[in-house]
Amino acid sequence: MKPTYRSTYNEHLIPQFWQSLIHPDYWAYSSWLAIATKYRRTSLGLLWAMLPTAVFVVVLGNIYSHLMGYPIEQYLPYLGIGYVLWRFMIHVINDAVTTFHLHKAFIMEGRIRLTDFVLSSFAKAGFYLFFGGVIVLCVFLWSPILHVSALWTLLLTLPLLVINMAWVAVCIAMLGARFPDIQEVIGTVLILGLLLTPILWPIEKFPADSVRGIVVRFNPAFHLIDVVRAPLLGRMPETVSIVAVVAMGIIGWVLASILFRRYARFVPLWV
Amino acid sequence: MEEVHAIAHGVTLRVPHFVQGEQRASSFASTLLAAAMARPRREYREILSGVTFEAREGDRVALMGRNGAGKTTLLRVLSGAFKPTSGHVEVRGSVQALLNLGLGFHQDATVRENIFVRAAAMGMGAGPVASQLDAILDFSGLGHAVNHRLSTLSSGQRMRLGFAISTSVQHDIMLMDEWFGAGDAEFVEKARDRMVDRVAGSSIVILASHSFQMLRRICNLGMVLDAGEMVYFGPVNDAIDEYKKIYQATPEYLARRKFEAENEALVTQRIVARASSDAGDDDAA
Repeated sequence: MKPTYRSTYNEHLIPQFWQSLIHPDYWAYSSWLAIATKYRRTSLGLLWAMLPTAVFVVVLGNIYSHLMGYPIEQYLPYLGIGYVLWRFMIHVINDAVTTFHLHKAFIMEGRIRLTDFVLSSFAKAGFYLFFGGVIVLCVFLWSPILHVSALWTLLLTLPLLVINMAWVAVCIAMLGARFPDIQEVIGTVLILGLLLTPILWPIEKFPADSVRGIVVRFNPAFHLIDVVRAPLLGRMPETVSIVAVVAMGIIGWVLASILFRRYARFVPLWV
Repeated sequence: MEEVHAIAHGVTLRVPHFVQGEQRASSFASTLLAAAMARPRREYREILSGVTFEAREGDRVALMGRNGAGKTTLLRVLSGAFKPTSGHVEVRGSVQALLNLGLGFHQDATVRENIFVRAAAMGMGAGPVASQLDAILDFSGLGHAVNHRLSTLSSGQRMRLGFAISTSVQHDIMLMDEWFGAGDAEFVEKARDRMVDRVAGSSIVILASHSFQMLRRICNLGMVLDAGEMVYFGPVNDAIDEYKKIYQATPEYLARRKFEAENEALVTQRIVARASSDAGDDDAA
């Protein structure tokens, strides 16, 4: 059967995404190549994908555990997990915002699904998450208060984070293609975000019933991180976090689907 | 057996583009200031209006028109990159768009890695690429450089590589923006043979070009675009005549012809002078 292209057919996000997922040849290979070649001429090679995280966690962990008055055995894992997840999120967002512009030549060729480009920004972030995971694993093995058995919760919690980041990436990629301002906005927000999100400091500083506590809990990044982080540290995440993450996932995907259905056809004209 | 076809019906494409306001800058400093301060205006422009045609199995369509007439845009609508604002396009059969040969190379990756990534971008799986790898390297003459970084290749070598990958597989429909024929003498010949082969193997070819001679040789149908509108669609020789009428009506062309008519003696004199000086060179050689 010959493939048939009809211009009247409007792409739906979820089937497109699925098609991209089952044909990973292009996006997986090209994003892996981008990482592998980035460090190719360095002497340490792929170690560079791990070193910055390791340095950040070890150095900042030591200083801040003292500053905040927490035992380092407790603080280092908290910081490590939070930071690695945060890094994953900013990688996804930073890459998504420019992904359509970067792949302009491919889009003009008309052969590849737009979701492939979203996934290529995702795959890169995923590789870094994996390398960050190695650091976290080291922290796990080192810390006396953590149990490696807690790692199985990742099977349940990590998909929640990834599903949420996927719709965020789709929306940001489309907005970034249309409005160059988004790139500037995101640069600003992400710097603030690291300080405003409970990564360096624990959420217990702000109880949920205080005014500040309520404000802090409006930060979606906190819920996304804590749903993954808390079970690893042997706590249950707050109920509000679980509800928020599930609700965001559902609403976000509906929103992304509508945006994609309505505006995907304009992306080649915008970039 | 299903028939391969490419149909466009009333295809209109309106695109937003940004226009900088008129600048009446008088001095150097105010030009600089205006560059930073002037906000672009968003305007809509119709770059294709109501293009309707049908290409059936065996058709070779010549796409003609002056620069900016919408030839490339029409090819991009057919390849699926742009969606028409109104009207529709239906294309049955696998499509190969030879619009950009340098597409998607990673500068720091090796030639081999680039072949894989580029082929993946073209929708080939890893298996078929591996079986084509030797053929691609052989054709591009880069077998010795397979593990070199792409950035160490010359631009001509890159062009060869892009050409070899893009044309490694036969598709039902070929969309081409100008005929490819650059490279050193040996490669030009190989590339020409390959192109003739691919064109012969395709069910439909749509080729934008300015070379009448080549279009007459390859195509049976011709389409003339002018300012986004399809002025003519029919047998290629008639289409070429139509196209000539359009550019012969342009002010520049008329002015040149007028000059030549009024100064016939002068022009003849120049031609004679050039011919005799050429002949003189020949004698000297």
